Amino acid sequence: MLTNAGALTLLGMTRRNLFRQRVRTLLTVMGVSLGVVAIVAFHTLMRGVWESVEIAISTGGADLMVFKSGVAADLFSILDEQKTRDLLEADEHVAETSACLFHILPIAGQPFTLLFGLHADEFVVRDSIPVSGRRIEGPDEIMLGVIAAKLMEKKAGDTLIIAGQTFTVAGVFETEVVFYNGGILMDLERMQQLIDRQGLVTAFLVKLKEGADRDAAVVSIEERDPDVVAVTGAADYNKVDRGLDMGNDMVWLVSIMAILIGSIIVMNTMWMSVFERTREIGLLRAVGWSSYRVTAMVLIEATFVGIMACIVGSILGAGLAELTTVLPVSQQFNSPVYDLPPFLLALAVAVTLSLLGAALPAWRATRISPVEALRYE
Amino acid sequence: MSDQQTNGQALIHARGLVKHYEDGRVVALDGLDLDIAAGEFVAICGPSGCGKSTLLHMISGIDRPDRGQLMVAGRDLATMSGGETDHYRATVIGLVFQLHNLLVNLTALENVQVPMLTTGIRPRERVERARDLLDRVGLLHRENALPPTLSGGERQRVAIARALANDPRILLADEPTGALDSKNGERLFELLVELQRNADMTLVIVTHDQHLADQAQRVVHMLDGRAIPEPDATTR
Ligand SMILES: Nc1ncnc2c1ncn2[C@@H]1O[C@H](COP(=O)(O)OP(=O)(O)O)[C@@H](O)[C@H]1O
Ligand SMILES: [Mg+2]
Repeated sequence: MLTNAGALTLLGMTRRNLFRQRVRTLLTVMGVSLGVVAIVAFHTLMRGVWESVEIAISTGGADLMVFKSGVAADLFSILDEQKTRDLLEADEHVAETSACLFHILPIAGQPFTLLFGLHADEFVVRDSIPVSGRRIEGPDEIMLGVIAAKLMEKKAGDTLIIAGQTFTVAGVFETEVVFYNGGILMDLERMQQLIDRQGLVTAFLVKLKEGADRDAAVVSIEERDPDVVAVTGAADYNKVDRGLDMGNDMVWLVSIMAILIGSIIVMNTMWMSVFERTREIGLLRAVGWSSYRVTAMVLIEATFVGIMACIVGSILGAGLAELTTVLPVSQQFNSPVYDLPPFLLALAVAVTLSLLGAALPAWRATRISPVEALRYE
Repeated sequence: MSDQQTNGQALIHARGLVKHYEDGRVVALDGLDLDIAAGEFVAICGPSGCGKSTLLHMISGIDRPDRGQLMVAGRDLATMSGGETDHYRATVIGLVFQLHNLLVNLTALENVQVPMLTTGIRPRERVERARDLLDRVGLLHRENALPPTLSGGERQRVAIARALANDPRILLADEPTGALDSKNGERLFELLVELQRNADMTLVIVTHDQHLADQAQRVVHMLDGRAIPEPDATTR
């Protein structure tokens, strides 16, 4: 390497050009990185939600969940408990079921607390192991998710008032689903009385028999009663909730906006940069540089901006997503998932938008005639 | 050398070159005829606006004549593709302008390497060659200096080193001493003459300075876009 010291390279020239206008370069990087922040933050959060849904469906080892068909959101699903249970137990694929009722209430100062009712003798509660205390045994006992317990500062043995009634905390549970951990578990019958939904539930968690085919089970259950739908994962969760799809659409919309804005920022910067260097570019052409090389120089500069924006934006974006796990309200629902795809997407987006933005300035650079450029003396 | 020239034709062979600007309102070249032999040292003189720069632009391939024939080293510049012209500029021609020859954010050593990026020689050899050229123009000690910290004469010497980067057959200099005082101008001129003598290069210099022009092997006088014919064009 030492022997190459002082060697001029196209990359070295690009770096020098960007450094020459370091404030402008920095501002451009910041501008583009805002888009990256949006993409990283939204994607990370969406992936968190997606993953939570996947895990929620398999709570307690369930293979699928059954909801009322034709609802806009899972919480609006209302099933007749007895009728649906009979229907499910008649199906040859089904091993056992666990009915559940969901509701959102303001509890102990938390404006949106998820309350869910389950039968203590059905598999979800029966097979669970509390992190502290014990499982619910009577109608006046509840269990708190770990995040709810922390936010409400309650532990086993304490009491809690829900909808004007007093309950005793039997224990604390933890699941892999963040929005469950922010919630409260109650005896199903007690909850039906409490919120006036006698005989009704939101959904059934269903365990299939050993070796039963999941897809066949879904078809079979849905054929038995067109009023119910069975979901096996986040991918078909849109049967009962448009939220995930809408979330994804939002993320894409934000991403596209970010790309457009970023491109325009890069275009503006590179356009100015090319304009300022009219004479230099003319000189490069005069000493034999091809228009391709000049184009490459401009595009590489833009790519550098994109990569820098990606690094800055990824850090800020992850920070923003992480912030939602600290804020009390969002903490109950979010757990961002940091895996590679959003960051790769951010890199691809940042580089693409930079190249997109640089295309026009690069084209302009190739139109610079050395004669014209060198005449400005 | 002769293999690159057709039947003893001159290295630079121009016939009836015409160049108009601004839709014909400005006539820069008006049927110029010129022959320059390989290895010759020619000074081009003439009043401002007579087309001297335009002529150099034509020969260097950065502009094209509207009419007329221009052959350089046996090749008709009009028939060359864009890529061939780029290669021609990079390897056959060395260019020195009056001003603004250098990229201001590159060091002297880096400026000399700019044309070398087009020819694919290795980075290590690039540096070596650039150092050697800076040494030949007496500026090796300033290799890491940025152009704004160099004097006018030093900048022109870096420009000459850069013009020689790819070992061109033809060095074209457009008033290279125009922005220098007479003492520095003279020194720069001497350097060019010496380089030409040692490198077996064809040197074409545009100059206003009659004293400098007199040192050339031949002086071509231009007026209104034409070369004034001389009775004894090959006197030494
Ligand atoms: N790109 C151009 N556009 C318009 N006019 C030009 C251009 N280049 C040269 N000219 C004109 O052509 C004439 C010859 O110019 P030039 O070759 O630069 O003269 P010289 O170098 O002898 O002073 C001048 O009148 C000049 O103004
Ligand atoms: Mg001129």
